[in-house]
Amino acid sequence: MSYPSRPADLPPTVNCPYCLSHIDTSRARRVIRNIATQEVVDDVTDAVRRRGLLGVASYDRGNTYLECRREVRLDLVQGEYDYPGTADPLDDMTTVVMNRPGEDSPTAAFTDGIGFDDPEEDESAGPSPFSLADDADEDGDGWESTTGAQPSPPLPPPADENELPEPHYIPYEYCQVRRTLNIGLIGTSSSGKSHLLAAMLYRMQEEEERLAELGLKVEPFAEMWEYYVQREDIAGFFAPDRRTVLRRTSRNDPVEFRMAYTVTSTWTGEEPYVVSFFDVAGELFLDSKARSRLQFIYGLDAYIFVADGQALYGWGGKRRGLRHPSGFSNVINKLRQNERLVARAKGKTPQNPLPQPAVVVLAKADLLLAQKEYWVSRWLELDDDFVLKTVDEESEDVYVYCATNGAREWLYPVNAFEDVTLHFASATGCEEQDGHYNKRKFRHMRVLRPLLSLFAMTGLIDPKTINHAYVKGVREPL
Amino acid sequence: MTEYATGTPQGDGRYRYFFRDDSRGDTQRVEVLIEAVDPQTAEQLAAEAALAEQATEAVMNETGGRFPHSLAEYVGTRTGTNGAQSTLVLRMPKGRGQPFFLEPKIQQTPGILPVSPKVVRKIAIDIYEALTVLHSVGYVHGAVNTESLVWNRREAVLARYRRMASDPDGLQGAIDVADAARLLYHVAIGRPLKGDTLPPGDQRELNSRLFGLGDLIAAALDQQERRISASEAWARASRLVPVENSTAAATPAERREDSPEEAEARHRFRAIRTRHEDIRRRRYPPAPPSAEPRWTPPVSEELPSRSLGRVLLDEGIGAFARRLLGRIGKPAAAASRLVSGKAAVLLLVIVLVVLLGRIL
Repeated sequence: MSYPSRPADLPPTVNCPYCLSHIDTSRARRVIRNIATQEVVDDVTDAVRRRGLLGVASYDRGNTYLECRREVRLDLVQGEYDYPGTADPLDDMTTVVMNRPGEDSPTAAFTDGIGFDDPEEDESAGPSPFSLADDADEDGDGWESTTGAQPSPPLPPPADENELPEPHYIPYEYCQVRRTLNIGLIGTSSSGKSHLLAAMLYRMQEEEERLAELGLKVEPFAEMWEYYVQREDIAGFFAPDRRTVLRRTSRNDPVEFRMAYTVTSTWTGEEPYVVSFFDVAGELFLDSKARSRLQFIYGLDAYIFVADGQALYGWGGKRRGLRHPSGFSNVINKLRQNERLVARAKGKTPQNPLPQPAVVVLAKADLLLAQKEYWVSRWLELDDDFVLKTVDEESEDVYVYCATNGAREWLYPVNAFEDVTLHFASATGCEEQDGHYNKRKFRHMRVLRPLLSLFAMTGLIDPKTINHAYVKGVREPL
Repeated sequence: MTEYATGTPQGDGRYRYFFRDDSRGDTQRVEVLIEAVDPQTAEQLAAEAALAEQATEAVMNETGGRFPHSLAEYVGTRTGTNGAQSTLVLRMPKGRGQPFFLEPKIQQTPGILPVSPKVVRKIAIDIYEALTVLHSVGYVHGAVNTESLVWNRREAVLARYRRMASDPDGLQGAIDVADAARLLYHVAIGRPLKGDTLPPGDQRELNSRLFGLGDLIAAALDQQERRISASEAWARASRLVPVENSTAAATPAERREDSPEEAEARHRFRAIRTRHEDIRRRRYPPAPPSAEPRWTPPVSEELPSRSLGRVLLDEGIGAFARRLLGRIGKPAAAASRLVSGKAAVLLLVIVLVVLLGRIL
């Protein structure tokens, strides 16, 4: 009996959200991964091809992934080839990412320069005089005849911290949905991205009724919430009697979305969106070598720029500047350069400002509140996560605060993106001490407001709730 | 018994809990079946069933047949895999989704605590209502804790009677009030209370989450002679206010006058925003209003029929012959249908009669 090579519940091609290539679903493997170790434990390609996810045990459906490896990609993307002496892919672009999610245009616009000869792999040069004799294992029993020792198995090559892991894995259920909204958190290391994201996700779980008033029904995607809270540091952060600090996001952590929600909106219609959140180590944004790991930023639909409130220095009525760069300009330059190259390849004019919405969140604002800064105190203590009509007024005040306190670098996104709002927020409400937060002072302050503002700017909820208009993809409510 | 149960059973090592639809057909109620796992707990369960029957009868007599929602009612039944003595069946209101006993659920998923202030308020109201009713009929519960509490996702129900005792003088009721306060502390903070009194810091913390909760728990844990009664605790629980609704402001204070530098920055931001809105208007123009559709005459799905001569000219002799045979075939087909019917037989008889008449 022959089975179709592609299950009925997957389209012929799927966009990989990590490397942005098109995957041929008829050739890609379906695997089950251990969520704790991230290792592949089973290959279920045949079962899934036959019956879709019904071919997998119910407890393994959330662990089923589509494997994205080089052989199944229909196009070559930047980062596939290493060029000696190339500091940044955009300095010497070989392949330009053409598509955005939802577009059917080919991913690769042009490629060139592939096929460098590696002199070390030149077989015509013959065996090296320093290599061991081929006949060390003369009898072929796996034991070396000369030393009597069994050769140790070759160690896997160490993972390159700058490269996207190869292969990488996409949740199978994610491949089945048609409408996705990928949101990335941008900011330097220790700026508070992971804490902000954790607080946002927790509040989304808690505020079911008030989200429903905005026309949103939010449910964790697949079993991602269960896996997310299984992380020890996340569980400690959420537990009222612990309130531990989240561990620092390592640059070696897999580039995968941390969490995703299925969001059904009465504004956009009944078909749900999957809203996913990308959170990677902040130092990657300042590192020009981490080109492959940052490939995902070109495919994002919206951006959350996280500014570290602790980075402001100087006091005496006025701040004097930032202690360290925010990394915003690096990311924006990359996005602009990609936009130019895409437009050139398509024969169009590059879009300026960039055609995505963004929010700038001044995180750890509670530290500024402690110093009685007027603009922060005007907003931070309000419980106005769902009072979105004042978003523009707050954006003005944040802009004024940053512009007059030496933090103009945080305002780059305002000029760079077509629709931007700015917010004061704090994920914890207090400063950490010895790895813990004060349990009595701990609270999430206005963490949901930037996300809801972003939802309005992407058309997931009515943009009129934040008094904005002319939003991409918005149509009249049903 | 389990064949009648719906949803996932629960268990705590000594008892198994099953939930099923009400056996009397009341759609607003469900039944919880408590089953012992060994002979020792079966004896305890049989004793508990007797106590539950007493309590149910006492409440029914006192209230004239009405039973409060927050207290589980005994159901006399003989169903059970191990015989009637190993099973206790209680009736309770139906909520949203499957109800669950709190203690096994906490062991299974510790992350469910603490619960939201609104749920704490509901648990406080329900549990003190149940105790008020029990105390008023001369009984004390004796074991108010997470093992006795069922949450049906809408309301809390006291659903065990293992240590119930008669208390006609009302001297032992204070123990129940304190136990309920400890239970509220547990679900509101996420951990059991250590010690017999509420620390002042915890009292402030609880008040900041649910206005009045810290004071209620402190009063319920006070020394026995000064402790509030269940009915007073019930009244206080009804007055608890979630903080987010009571004190939180949602609009900012009046803005102060900008300095020249701030005014310039504000002006710059507004200019950027206006410029970007213009760009967005060009990029994503609003859809034009849909024009009224003009009336068009309905188009017939069939092409007009052509004459045989036209067919001969257009398509040749072959098409002409096919069309001609088709037209001939139509009456022939109608005739064949007639032949097969009674009308055809009648017609045939008439023709024969006419022919015979002419011959004769």
